Amino acid sequence: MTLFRFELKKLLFSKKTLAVLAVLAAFVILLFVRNLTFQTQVEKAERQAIDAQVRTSQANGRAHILLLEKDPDDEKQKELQTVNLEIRDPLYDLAANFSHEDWKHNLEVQNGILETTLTYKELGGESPLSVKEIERTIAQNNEFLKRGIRPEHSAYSIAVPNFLQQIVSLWMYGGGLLLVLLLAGDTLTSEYESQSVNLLFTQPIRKAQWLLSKLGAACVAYVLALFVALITAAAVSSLFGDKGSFRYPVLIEKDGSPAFGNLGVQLIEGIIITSVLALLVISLILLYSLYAKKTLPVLAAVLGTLGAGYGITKLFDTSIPSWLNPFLNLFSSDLLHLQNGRTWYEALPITLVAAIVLVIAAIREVRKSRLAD
Amino acid sequence: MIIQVENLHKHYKKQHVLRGINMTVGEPQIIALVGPNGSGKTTLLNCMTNLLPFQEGKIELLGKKNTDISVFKDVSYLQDNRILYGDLTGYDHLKFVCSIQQLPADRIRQVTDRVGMTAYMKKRVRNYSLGMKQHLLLAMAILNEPKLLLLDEPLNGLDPSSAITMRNILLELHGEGTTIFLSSHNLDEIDRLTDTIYFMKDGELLKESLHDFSRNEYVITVDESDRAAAVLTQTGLPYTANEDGQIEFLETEAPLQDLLDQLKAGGLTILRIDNRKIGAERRYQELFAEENVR
Repeated sequence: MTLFRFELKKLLFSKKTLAVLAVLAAFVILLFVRNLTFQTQVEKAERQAIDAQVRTSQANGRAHILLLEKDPDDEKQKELQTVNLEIRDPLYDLAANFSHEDWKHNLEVQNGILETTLTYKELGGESPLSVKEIERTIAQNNEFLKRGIRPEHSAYSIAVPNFLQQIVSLWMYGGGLLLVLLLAGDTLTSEYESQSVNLLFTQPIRKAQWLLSKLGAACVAYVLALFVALITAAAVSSLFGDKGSFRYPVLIEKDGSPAFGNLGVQLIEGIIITSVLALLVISLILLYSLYAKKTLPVLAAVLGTLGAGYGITKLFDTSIPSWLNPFLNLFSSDLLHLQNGRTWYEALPITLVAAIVLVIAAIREVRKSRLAD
Repeated sequence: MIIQVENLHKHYKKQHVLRGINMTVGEPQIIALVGPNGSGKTTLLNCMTNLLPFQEGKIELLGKKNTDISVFKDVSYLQDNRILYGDLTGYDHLKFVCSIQQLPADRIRQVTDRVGMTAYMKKRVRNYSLGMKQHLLLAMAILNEPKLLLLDEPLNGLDPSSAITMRNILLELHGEGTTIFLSSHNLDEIDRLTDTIYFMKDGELLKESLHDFSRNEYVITVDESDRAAAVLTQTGLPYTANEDGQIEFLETEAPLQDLLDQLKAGGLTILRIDNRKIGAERRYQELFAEENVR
């Protein structure tokens, strides 16, 4: 424990760590300020979306008129024209009386329009929305209505759970791993580069114990960074945003059909996935550091490995079983949203096993480690 | 045996850095390691403390193989100040060593008082002067009351008062039974600490006790230096006249009194006699004459 406490103190009280954590907190606050600033744009965007639907419907209406002028007996066009009018009239109504606050009414009207759009498409009419998209939007709107939770803008929400989700998403799409590299990328190499490792190697300390202390300190630093990001996000959104709900419905494609999970649960799942990946990256850093003993080559090797893992995953996603690919969740939240024949936690055991194997290899290597010769 | 090094060979790629080093230290003493830059002093210390691997040979400290980490319960190594962590305080460093060595916490205060760093031990090391860092390194090294203390250039960059403190502590430790093995370029300080010196040259070790060179060399100043040369040349006594007209004379080659008698007989007045003892610097100059010329 002495060694672990010393390593932790070295890592957490370093100027670099404090600077990284301060920048992280500032970034979260700035992101929230951006979301807050764009609140007026959110309503504007909703109006623009309705206007776009109106324009599509008007264009379709003109097309039907032209075709019926050519062939007044075209029954199909007559039917499409009628259905299009059933879309356009409520759209006009929605556009004229749109109120951002009256979200339940908006969703109900929109669902009516979308269902009519489905009929319109079935009759051969054109719409920029696919059937799948329409069905999902209807299901999602129904879920919002059923749970009594107002929908939030995916990019500019100021509600606590949704803003947290935005942070966790950034964390999953590389933010978390970038922080691991910044905080722990030189945890071993800096000791070799500055020769401070000599102090440790001339004390009655087992080298394996030293390595495990490094691993533990790096993990704590990662968790601390995660907490700083989440607590800052929760604090600013609680103070200046909306309460929101952790029961916010999140659309998941489960075995081909839309299903709904809770945002709160998905936040936890996202954090677990990224944290296990962070452990893998820390293990890679430790092992590579013992070979290279210099920070830049180690960072390049870690990034190269992650890049290769990501590339292989993208190229051979379907041919590699999820439970055999430790890089499956790298820079991706696919498993949280697309659970067709697989579960969100499927790649976690292999990622953990890979991390453990790397740590064992690092322990074997550190026992032989001395100064750079 | 306190230190036993047998036939130690160390290569850096194609360079043969240590060439069959043999060294045995059985009794507590102060030993200085002296040699020009690149002669292998730090490499030898790093091999002794298992910081560097070596290709051939055997090293034992206090009767244990140097690869046995328990050796560091009784052996300390004072190294370059780069081993310190700038973001931590001196106290953090001492507390760490104290915990690792399983020493009582009050030992820190005893050591910082002894070294004279209590006043600034709670400051971050990045704000320390060179002397303060050296004090901290010494405090860390003596915290466990080592039986063997290895020091690599402990006097580098120290101001005179810090150097005196360092020297006095080393002498005290020696008095308490600690064997001290230090490398240094400060030959004056070495003279004040010990006369047992290992000279290193091109990876080879030459052990010498300056006692063996305790020939008395005298520098005699007379009133008429020109005539003195004529008088002494007639007697056949070996002497050298230096640039200042003084007579330099080695007693090992003839009794001093003979020379003085001859000078007096020649009617010369002896103004001053200086006894010039052989020191580390003089011996170094003799041994490394070629390097000095270069």
